[in-house]
Amino acid sequence: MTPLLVATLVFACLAAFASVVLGRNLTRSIFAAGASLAALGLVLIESGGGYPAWFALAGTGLAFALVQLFGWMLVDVDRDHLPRTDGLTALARGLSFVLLAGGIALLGLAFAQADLAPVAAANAARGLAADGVFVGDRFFGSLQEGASLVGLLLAATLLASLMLLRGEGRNR
Amino acid sequence: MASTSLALVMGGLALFWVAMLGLLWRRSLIGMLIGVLFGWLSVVVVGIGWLTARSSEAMPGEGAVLLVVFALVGLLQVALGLAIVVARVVRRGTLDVQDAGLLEG
Repeated sequence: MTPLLVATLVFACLAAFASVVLGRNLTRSIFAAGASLAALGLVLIESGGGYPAWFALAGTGLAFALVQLFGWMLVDVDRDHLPRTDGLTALARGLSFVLLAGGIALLGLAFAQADLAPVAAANAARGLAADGVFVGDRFFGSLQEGASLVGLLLAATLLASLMLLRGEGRNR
Repeated sequence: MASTSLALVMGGLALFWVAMLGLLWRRSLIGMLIGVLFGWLSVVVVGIGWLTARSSEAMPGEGAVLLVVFALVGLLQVALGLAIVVARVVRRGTLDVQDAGLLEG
């Protein structure tokens, strides 16, 4: 993959983040989502995504258009969002998202550091470049402690968020 | 893993995190709907990355139909969300998410 396509993929992720963050403003949110979809489309098609990529891109584009249309017609912009979350809940939820990002980064690092030479040799006869076995082998093998720790921390913070949400609006 | 597959898988995972943020942050209806869409799209991106690594002359396009099904499920989920929005507006005349949080008998 060329550096330009990698940069396009990074832009797609940033635009998707912007579309989520700008959710209170319909037009800005949909515009950012559309920019993200266009960048993703470029990356997927250039990478040889084939007809699943075309189908997903066309369908997602149609869904964005529908959300925009329905938003213009129906959404009461003053009341389509919930009030600001309680501080403790927001802290616990933010922590869980950071841990989720850590878990995802760990997964990505496992992919990046995976030594595929033995797998490639084993699969050469079958004509495969990689198979799913090495992913499980990494997570239940050398990365077992880290993956378990991230999972436990994530579960604990999500549980704390849920417990805090129960009392929100009644006890605080 | 080839660089293209690795980049697509990493990008898809990052997109999945963004989607979960939009969905669970629940700051607005639009943000949640877009989060749902990006969540299923991230599954498709990771799947295409995985297929790119696996594709060969022996089994071209293996698993591609599964990705189409994933994309279809995502689209149907958004269609269902929009249908709920329409039903609430028809019944209540507005879309007040605090009011929508109450269960109806």
